[in-house]
Amino acid sequence: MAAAATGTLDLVQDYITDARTLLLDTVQAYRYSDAELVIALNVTIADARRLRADLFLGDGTNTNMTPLPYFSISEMLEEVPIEPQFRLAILYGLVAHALTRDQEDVQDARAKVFRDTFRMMLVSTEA
Amino acid sequence: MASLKHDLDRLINSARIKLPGSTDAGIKQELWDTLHEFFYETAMWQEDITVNIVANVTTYSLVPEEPGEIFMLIGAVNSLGDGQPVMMQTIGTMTVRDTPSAATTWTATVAKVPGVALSRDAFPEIPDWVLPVYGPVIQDGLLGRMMHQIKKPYSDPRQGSYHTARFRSALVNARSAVMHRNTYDTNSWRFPQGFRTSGQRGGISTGIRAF
Repeated sequence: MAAAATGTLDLVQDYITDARTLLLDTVQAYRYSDAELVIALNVTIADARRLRADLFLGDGTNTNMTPLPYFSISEMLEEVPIEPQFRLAILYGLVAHALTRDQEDVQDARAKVFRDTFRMMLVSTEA
Repeated sequence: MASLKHDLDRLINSARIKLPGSTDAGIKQELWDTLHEFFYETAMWQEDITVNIVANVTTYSLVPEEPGEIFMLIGAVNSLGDGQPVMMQTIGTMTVRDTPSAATTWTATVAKVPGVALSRDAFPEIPDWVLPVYGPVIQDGLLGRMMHQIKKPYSDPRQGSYHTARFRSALVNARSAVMHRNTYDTNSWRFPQGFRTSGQRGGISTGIRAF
């Protein structure tokens, strides 16, 4: 079974665990490996940086957060530095990326819903 | 009395409410720009700096004791309060026109803008009195800047223009207040001290129009 998610989406593990719930992939052997989901998290963060650079100003001191936060499979307990109100968007982006690899038509539709919601949450008040 | 931190928190909380989908870091970034514009346009943040004048030396470094960066030299007076011909061609360096013939002490008045925040909480260091007095003005400037950003949940050029117009209008009043030394219906005119007599009340603002 996947580790219990805290719901706060603080750590890499929190994202992976909650993503498995949305992906209906909570029973081993997993359809999506941890490594694949961590990659999905990384590319989602990069896409979020494209849309909302202000999410990556860190504590607002003297620099942008460069390079972008990037995680490996061995860093499941690392904190993902995203302000709380945007963590759900990152989760949806992660799930969208994971679903995109599936070939079933129904998954394409779900992937689009998650991807659209991810973008809407970042650039619009409608989501 | 509320602290500067409390006032800044209140300002940012208010901005969060009015800017759905904004980030705290983004708000702080624009807040610094807004404060910079406010102080630059009004020259409201001033500091007197004591300058030890040395014979035959015409350039002096101006180093404020309090936070903030100098952007304008407002003037300098000698120990008698007489204005002296000075300029600041290079920011932070005062040049006197007439070569001093003897050591003395002058007071230079400079206007400042906030320095880039380096503290962990990223709030710029500004005087405590600014937000209690000009908080709504700063907020208008902040909202205007935020709403004029493109492709953000809080983008709203129409509302942004409204807030920016209010901010710019308030800047004019604030600049005027500085010119009047924050007094009502008086001016900051001061009788030339070199010609003063014992009965002169120059420099004292009474708030009453004198005919």
